Amino acid sequence: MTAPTVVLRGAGKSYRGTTALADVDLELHRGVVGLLGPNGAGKTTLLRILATVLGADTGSVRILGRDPAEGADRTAIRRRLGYLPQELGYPGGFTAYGFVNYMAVLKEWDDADARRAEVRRVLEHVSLDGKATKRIRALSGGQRRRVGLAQALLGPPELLVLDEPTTGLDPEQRVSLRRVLAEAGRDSTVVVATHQTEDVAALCERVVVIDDGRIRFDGAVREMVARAVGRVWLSHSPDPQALTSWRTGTGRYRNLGTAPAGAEPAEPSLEDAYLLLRGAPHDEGVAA
Amino acid sequence: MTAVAVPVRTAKAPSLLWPLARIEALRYARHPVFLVGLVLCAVLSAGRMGPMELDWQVMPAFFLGVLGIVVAARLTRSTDTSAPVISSAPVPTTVRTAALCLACLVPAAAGLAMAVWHRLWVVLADPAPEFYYGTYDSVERNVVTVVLPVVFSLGGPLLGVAVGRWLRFPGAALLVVVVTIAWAQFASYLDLANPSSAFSRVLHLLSPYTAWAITDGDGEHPLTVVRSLTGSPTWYAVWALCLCGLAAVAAMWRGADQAARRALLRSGAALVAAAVVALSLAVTGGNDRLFDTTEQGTTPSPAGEYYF
Repeated sequence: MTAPTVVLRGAGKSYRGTTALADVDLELHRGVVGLLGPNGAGKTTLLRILATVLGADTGSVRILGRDPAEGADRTAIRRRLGYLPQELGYPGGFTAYGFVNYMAVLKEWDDADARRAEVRRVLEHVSLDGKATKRIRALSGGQRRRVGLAQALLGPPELLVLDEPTTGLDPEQRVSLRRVLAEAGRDSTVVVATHQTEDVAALCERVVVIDDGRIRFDGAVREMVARAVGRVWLSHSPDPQALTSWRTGTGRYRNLGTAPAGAEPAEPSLEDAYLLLRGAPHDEGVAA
Repeated sequence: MTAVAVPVRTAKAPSLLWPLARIEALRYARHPVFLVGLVLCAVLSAGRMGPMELDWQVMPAFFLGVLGIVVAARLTRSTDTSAPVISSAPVPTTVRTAALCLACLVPAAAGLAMAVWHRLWVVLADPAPEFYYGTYDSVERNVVTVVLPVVFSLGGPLLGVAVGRWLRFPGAALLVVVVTIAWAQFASYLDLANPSSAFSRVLHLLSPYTAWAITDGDGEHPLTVVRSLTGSPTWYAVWALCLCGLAAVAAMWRGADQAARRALLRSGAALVAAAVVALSLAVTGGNDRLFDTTEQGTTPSPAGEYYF
């Protein structure tokens, strides 16, 4: 086990009396970590704290061994950080290359030749090398998202913080993104907040579920899926007692919860586990 | 902490200022409002179409300077859409603002090019009669026709950067443009209305944009009389330059850390002191009242006759 990249102890954040994050303890190491949770759960707040854009109101935060509340430490963290926010707009008039180049300067790539090479590398990494000279406003939503990802990959960073990176991407682009992130996760800590449980299942070794500003689960993906074993059933009719049920493409109903009469067990997915966790009382979910 | 094979960059902010300024300068040079202003300035300055000699400074002052408020404010605000990623980068806001301020050298250079072009291809190719220059000596003529157009072309954009950093409501830059024009008009009007008033002279010279001559002609002659305004154009140029510096300081103040603010405070104090001295010399130097110059000679302007 390597030394942690991120250590949060009792971290909390409130906005005008509304608690966005409460008493969060979290340690992140090298590898890809998925962050799941419903809208308004506190995922974006947590990621903003990791990206040093926001400070925690309570508790302690250490990122890459430094305290982001200190000016010099914050700058040192930012030198080793990549961040893709949930919504990223682009200044008008920039090409894909121009914007990533601008961000590279802001990330202290002062040597022009090295900067050019790095910008080309990241654009190639997200398969945008052919669109580098196109104005960003002329790119599709998915391509714009990849411009955002490219700037986050500059460095490459030791901590990569991505808020819903797959938004607007088609299935092939998502698979391509998984490849990029898996590669990044070999040397860096990659934190991916998403609503796409299949992305987490396909990519992450570890998953953190957050709800109401609190961590509900923190452990390996397989551990979370294992918790759903024996709680997912297929039947010919919906079970009114189930936590949730829906008709699948085969015409059978997938029920989450206790077994209805005549049902047969199904292999749970991460999505099933997530939905079961969300439906459970708060103190049942937290991993040991 | 496990070592990762990543070169940690620790570039000093000044070394990043130039590449950043280059990017911002290119963005400025490509901005449609700047390009339209540049073309209009060139076209309307050509030949004897537009204002001549002392009056000509209004062309770069408006098309490069006043429109520059809008251009620079929009460039400054344009990165707001990317604020989350930009604020997670190590380069501080002060350096980004300083780069935007350096990009304002683009309109200043355009103003200089316009002034040189106007001197070479309009004024020197078709020399104007001596009385076209009112009461001003050769140094003051060059200040009014070459130096001030450059200072005005620089000052507006610098004010625009400050507006972009401080005023966050929509239409802020346009409001500042309207206020600036109204102020300049009002200050000139007061000076013209009260040809020997010291108070009017001070207000006239306080304006960040001001006229130095009002001209009139008739159907046969493009120009028959030049009314020279009060004060010293040379010291006014220094005062206007100090205002440029203060606009840059005000812009960089936003988002600056404590250390940067201490340096800005020192610079701001020095600029305020220099501005006060320059304004005092501008008020006490040059014409102490208005004069009308015609082919026949120079006479004090009559009181109350402020519309030509």
